[in-house]
Amino acid sequence: MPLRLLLALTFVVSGAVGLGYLLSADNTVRFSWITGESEGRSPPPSGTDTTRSKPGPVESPTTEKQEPSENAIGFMLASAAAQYSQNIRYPTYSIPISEDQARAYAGNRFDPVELPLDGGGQFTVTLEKYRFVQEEDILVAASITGSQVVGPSLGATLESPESRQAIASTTLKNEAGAPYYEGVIEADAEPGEYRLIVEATIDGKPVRHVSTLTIEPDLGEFDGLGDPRVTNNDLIIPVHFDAKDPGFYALSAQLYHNGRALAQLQTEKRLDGTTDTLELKAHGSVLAHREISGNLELRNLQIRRLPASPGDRTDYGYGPDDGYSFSPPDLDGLTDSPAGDPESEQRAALLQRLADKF
Amino acid sequence: MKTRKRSACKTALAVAIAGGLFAGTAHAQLAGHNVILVHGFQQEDLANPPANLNEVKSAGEDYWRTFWLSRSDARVDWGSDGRVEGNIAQQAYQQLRDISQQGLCNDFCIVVSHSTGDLVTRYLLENQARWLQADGLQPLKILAAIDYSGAGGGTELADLALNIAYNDSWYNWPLKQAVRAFTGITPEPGSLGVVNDLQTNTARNLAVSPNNIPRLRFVAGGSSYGGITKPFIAGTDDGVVPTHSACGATTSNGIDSCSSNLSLAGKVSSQNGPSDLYYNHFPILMNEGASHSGVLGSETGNISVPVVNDTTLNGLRVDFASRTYNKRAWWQWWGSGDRYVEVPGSDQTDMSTLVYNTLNN
Repeated sequence: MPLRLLLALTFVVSGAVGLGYLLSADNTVRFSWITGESEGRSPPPSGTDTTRSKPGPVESPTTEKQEPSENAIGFMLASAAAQYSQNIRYPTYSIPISEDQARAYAGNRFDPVELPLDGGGQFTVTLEKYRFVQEEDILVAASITGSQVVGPSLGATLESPESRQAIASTTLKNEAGAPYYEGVIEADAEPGEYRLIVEATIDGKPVRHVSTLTIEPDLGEFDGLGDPRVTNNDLIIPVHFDAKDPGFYALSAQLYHNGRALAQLQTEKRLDGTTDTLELKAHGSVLAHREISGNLELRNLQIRRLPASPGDRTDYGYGPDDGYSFSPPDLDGLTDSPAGDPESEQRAALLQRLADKF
Repeated sequence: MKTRKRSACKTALAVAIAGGLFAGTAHAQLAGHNVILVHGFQQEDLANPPANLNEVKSAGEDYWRTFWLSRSDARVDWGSDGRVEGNIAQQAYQQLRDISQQGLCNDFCIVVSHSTGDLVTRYLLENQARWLQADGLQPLKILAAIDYSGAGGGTELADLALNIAYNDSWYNWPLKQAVRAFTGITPEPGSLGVVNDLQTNTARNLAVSPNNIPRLRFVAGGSSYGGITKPFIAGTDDGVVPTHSACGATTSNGIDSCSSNLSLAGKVSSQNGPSDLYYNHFPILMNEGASHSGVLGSETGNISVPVVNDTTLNGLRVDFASRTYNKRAWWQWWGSGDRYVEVPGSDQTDMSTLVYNTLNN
């Protein structure tokens, strides 16, 4: 009798669940034998689009509408070609950037390097930057998390990767209550790449955390800005740099207004002692549509002596931490017109032709 | 990165047939443009550094044999025992000179890179015009780079390889095995070659200036080495390269997808995506099942997903009805299930064939 009751109950519950499922409003496969819908597939609801995450591009009134292809890769290539066509409105010497891109292109960034420890802990070392100029102080911070027993201080050594000779060393101390260890090493070594080795005694055993930094030669002095001017459709910002040695140099900086990044500016020039000026140019396309009042700023100035031959090292130098602030000339003459770089336009046309096949 | 077994026999065979292959690929173009291949990290070079450029080129040829070799017009081969700003630049430049002298890029060529080839390509693009012009040669005109599993943003495995090289043998056994799988050696200081350049901070401080060459990104998310490397890479990964690198994200923070609303598997859902991408970097396809090396033509059965961030093009909404579908997991008894986007039929082929056939259609 109990068995029959159990079976009956099971039948009733199963039936109720099955019926509920069949009649569920969300059951997209219900009655598909009647509607003819393919099993497991359903068209997207009209007027909604669950794949959308960002607003679509602003429709150009001149855009000729063509039915896009059903080919998914073709659609992606067409999207890339369209985005590329938008990007080349800006010359590569003056491109608009987001705040995230500004951080990425500022250069000289060091993200904390994490070393996993047994038992789920982590040994993390952080530096202010990746490249240090000769004789600059290197501030090293380290933290160790987890259940391990750690000694009261850590040792930090700067080592040459080739000779494995220690260049400098220091002790990282844990100030009372601080969740990290800290110390300073002086970058008093020949230019090149170095290993920063932070050694801790964890549960009675030595653990070495190793990361990489570079020491850069003193390339010269930034001597401020010349008078900015507007020529053609560019705001030209002369930057004075007194290079110690001749060579082919690349200068980059970020143009800011009211604390907001407007553009990444870059230029290349051979400096051979006859001139000490590189000219950054902000194209009208990154300025003309903005209300610019008050000063503009150049931040994150980075100069690179580019490798003359394959195999040579790129050397890096940096402008003042605060950058430069300057009063721009009258910018009313600038227009938001495309840059018109022939090679980029040719490339965009070829990409578009590729995408048009789909 | 791919592993290879170098043997005298294989090398001899490769050299013997190279001429025939080259002749057969004289017009091997992609969408009407010559194709230049730039391979990735070859761990064999750390254990047995190549003796000369011929060995480097022989290994480079083997690297692409699965699919792209017969569809290319030139290669830029380099030894993984070197550094990008060192031997690698020198070896690569010799080949760039040849390409320039042959005029292979006069009508724009397409670079196909894999893994560390992304980083090498980026460095070469930044310097090639100046070097070639100094030698009285024409700079190469590149239409676009197709980057499979691009390691230009580095990999945490390289950070860890350096640490293993400096730590005693007792240290963290699973991590040590993962690093051995990745490098093919027991790392020691000075033995890591290009792996040094793949440290996340080192890679992201090398030749990152924006330029006007579009980088089309193809991202994998499968397993390599039996999955033992995955726990040590930030976010999702293909067993070697993290998604943050393959997508072209501006930071090395771990992310799960190139899109904030689409998973690597194509599931329409909120994702930890990149906060932004490097300039002119365009994620095109993701594939959750493809492994790091499998993207080069050896793996089928995995669905590719278009990295759709918005479904409008030139202001026109795109109807994805034919390539989206709903699917319930076995445990989902109610509801419409999860919504997916895919490239129809992509599981019948591999990511390289898919792209090649589409572009050459």
